[in-house]
Amino acid sequence: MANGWHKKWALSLMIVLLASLQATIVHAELKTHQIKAAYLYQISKFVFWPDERQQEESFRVCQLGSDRYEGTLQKMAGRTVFDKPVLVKNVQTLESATDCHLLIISSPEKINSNKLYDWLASRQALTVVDGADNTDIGMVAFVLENQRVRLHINLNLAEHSGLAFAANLLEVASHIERGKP
Amino acid sequence: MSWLPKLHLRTKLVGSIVLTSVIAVLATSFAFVQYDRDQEATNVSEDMRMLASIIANRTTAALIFGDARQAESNLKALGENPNIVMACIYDSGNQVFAYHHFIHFDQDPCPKIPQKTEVMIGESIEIYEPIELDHLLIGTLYMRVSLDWLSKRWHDQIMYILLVIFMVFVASTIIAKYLQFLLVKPIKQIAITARNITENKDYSLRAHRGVKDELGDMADVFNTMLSKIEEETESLYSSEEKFRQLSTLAPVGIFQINLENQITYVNNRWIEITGIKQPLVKLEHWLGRIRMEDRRKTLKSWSELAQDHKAFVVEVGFEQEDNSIIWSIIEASVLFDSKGVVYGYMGALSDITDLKNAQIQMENLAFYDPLTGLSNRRLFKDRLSKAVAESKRRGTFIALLFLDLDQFKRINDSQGHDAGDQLLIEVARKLKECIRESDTVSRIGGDEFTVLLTDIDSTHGVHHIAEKILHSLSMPIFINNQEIINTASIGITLSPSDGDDEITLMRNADLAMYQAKANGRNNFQFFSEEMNKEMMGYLKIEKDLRASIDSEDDFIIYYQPKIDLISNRFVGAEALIRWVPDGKNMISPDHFIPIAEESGLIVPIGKWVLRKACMQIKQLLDLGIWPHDARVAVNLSARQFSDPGLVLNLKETLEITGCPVSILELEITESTLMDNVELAILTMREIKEMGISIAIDDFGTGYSSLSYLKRFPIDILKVDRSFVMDIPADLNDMAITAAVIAMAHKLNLRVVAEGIETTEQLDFLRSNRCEYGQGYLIARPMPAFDLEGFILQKSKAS
Repeated sequence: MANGWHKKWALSLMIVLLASLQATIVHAELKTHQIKAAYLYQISKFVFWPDERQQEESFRVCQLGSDRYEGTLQKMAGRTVFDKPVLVKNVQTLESATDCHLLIISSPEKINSNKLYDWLASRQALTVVDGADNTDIGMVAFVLENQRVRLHINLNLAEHSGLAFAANLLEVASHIERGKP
Repeated sequence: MSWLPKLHLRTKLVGSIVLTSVIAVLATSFAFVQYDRDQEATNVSEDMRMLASIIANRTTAALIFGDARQAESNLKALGENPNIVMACIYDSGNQVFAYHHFIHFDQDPCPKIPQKTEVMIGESIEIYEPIELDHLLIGTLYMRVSLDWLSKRWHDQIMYILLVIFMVFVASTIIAKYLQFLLVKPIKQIAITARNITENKDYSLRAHRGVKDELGDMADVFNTMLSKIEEETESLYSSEEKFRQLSTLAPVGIFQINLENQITYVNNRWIEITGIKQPLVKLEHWLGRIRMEDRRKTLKSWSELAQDHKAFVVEVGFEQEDNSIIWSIIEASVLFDSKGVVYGYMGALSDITDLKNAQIQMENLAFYDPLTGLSNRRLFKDRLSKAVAESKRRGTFIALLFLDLDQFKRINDSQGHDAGDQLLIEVARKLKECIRESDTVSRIGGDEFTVLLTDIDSTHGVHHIAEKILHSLSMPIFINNQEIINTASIGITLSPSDGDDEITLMRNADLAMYQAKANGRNNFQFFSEEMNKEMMGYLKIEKDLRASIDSEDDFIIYYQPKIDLISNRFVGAEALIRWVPDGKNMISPDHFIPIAEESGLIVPIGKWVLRKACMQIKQLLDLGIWPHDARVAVNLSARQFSDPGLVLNLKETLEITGCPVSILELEITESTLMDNVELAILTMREIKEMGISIAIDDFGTGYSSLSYLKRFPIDILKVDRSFVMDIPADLNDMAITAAVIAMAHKLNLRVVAEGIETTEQLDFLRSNRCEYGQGYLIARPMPAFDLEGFILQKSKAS
């Protein structure tokens, strides 16, 4: 298949594609934060929260660590999840995130998974991480696949925390961990 | 639809049942199919909407997370339903987010802009389902569902329905046929029965009742109706039979005629009367036999019957082949049917030939003398008046001859009535021989004949005919092998010289005839003025008599004594009337008694005589002059004797006058008694029972039969003076007188001889032991005063 003029045509096409990709990435970086932020809000709707958590005065969205969303999370504030106003806050320690519904873990590498396990055992909170490798601590992980934000879901961890996902969400997840191996 | 009623009942029945069944099935089926179709469409629509709703719900995450692959895979799940053609998902910006085709051909692209509502397009349904999450519209699901299966299902149903219809058709045809059998059979049975009855006229046939339903009831009703018809037919038959019998037995001819004037019925009597052998002919043929004189009125009556329905009765004569006439009465009237419409005429024909002949005979009797065949008094008067009128008009003469036989009464009495009749017939025959055809001979009563001669030229001609008649009549006639000589007296009057009216002419002829009698009989007399004058004298006498009866003073009673011829003793007297009209001489009884008899005045005169005589004799009796055993004899005229008040009058008179019954004796002439013997006997018995004696006057002149004499309750016979008169000159009369006396004695009757004028007569009578005598020799009639002296003288002498 590797004919002379074919190589030329493929080379020129690659150049055009790379150029456009470059532009897309810059743009995508910006957009990814927004998409993730939008997704976070939507995901909360596909999660079945226990009654006691739904009866709390507000739906707290906490970011553990640095703000990887560059402030876009604040856009969630003022909106409602199960008719409760959304509160967005930054927490530095796991301990300070006690009453969070949604816990966005910015730096998964800094989190001791066993410690998190214990923490989650005592309360129902949805942990969100980036990257497919961090699903051991994140019930929902945002993964970039083919330039698109995809979801990986760890059902085991969710079950451990006492949460359940709507089937709809599971259907759009590109990877689901379930059952103890 | 005019063909519908023409169909057979069975066709209509089967057709309607099958048609109804098929229509019912068709209607039900199509209603069901339509309902099914609508219901299916609704169901499918709802199912699809639910499906869409599920898919929409499932797709929320895919849409939110932009997972078109997942969305498409969700859509693929719809492939489980084979009817879904395609499905599309639009995002919130109405851009196609995902889609899937479930068919391989004729794929359509997703509609550009999703609609808000569900749309049905022909063979498919398009459903738009909004996709919402947390009340926010995040997209739309579009589904197109094919409805082809519904059409297929519909086609299947049609096929199934057609199959069912076919089965229903077969089943309903079978049921209808059976029903038809059930229904039509009994009806047919009735129809067959009705047809048989019509053909055979047998009303005893009945329809068989095969079923117990309404048709069975109908058969019963039909049979009941038949029974009724049979009954009525029988009653009609018997009524007709009765009529036929009546018609056969009826003494009158009966006929019926239809409106076409065709004779449709006649009985045998009709055939007998009319002599028409083939009776069912046209009316005209029959009426054509009516004689001309009656035909017009008959046809008029008949046309009135036909036009105005006026019943009629006409008397007609039918001319027979032998020229005789059968007289009939035709009565006819119209015939009405039960609706009151005229359908013919009916009538009766009576043979009145005998009646008619009797009538003709009666008419003959009314105008002709049955014995002689001559015209009678009535017809004669008619002819006379016509002849008088004719003579006045034409200025001709007529002659009237009045003829009376001289010895008829004698012949009749001596030879018997048959002989008398024979004599009259012979006289009539002779009279007819003597005159012309145009003249009229009539017998106007007893032995009186008239001859009316018209167109007379001269009295000589009349004279000649009268002589011819007298000559002819005087020729001897043989009756019962006995030669009889008879003569006649003829009175002749002429018109207009003697009179120009019938009454005058009759009276004139009568007078002339009496003159002829007076002239010795067997001659003729022409009426003359003298006769007329004498007639006038009669009338004067009658007038005077009436006046005298009113005054009574003009009448006197004379008594002619009777003595016992042996002892010369006074035994009684005959009371005789004398008339002395005021200022005139005494008039003889011979003159006025016939006039009194004829005019009827004899009755009051007789009464007066009886009363006066009783009064006078009572006086004499009271004076002791009249002997107790003596009797006064009073004459009773024929008129008095036949007077019904006679007996009552006698009783009254005796009562008023106080006259004892025993001294009264009534003298009745022999001829009076012989007029009506049986009645006379009865009257005499009544008189006799009162105690009054009865004497027969003028005995020997009336040809009394001895057998009658025996039956008469009489006491005394008076021998007529005509016999006594000729004693002793006529030996015959002497012999008769002697025989009469002897016979009277045999019958225990005493005898009075009257008209004794000579001693020879007296001696003869005495020698024949005649009890009593009366006459000039003994005493002339005398007034009552003189009678006193006579009685006293006689009593002294004895």
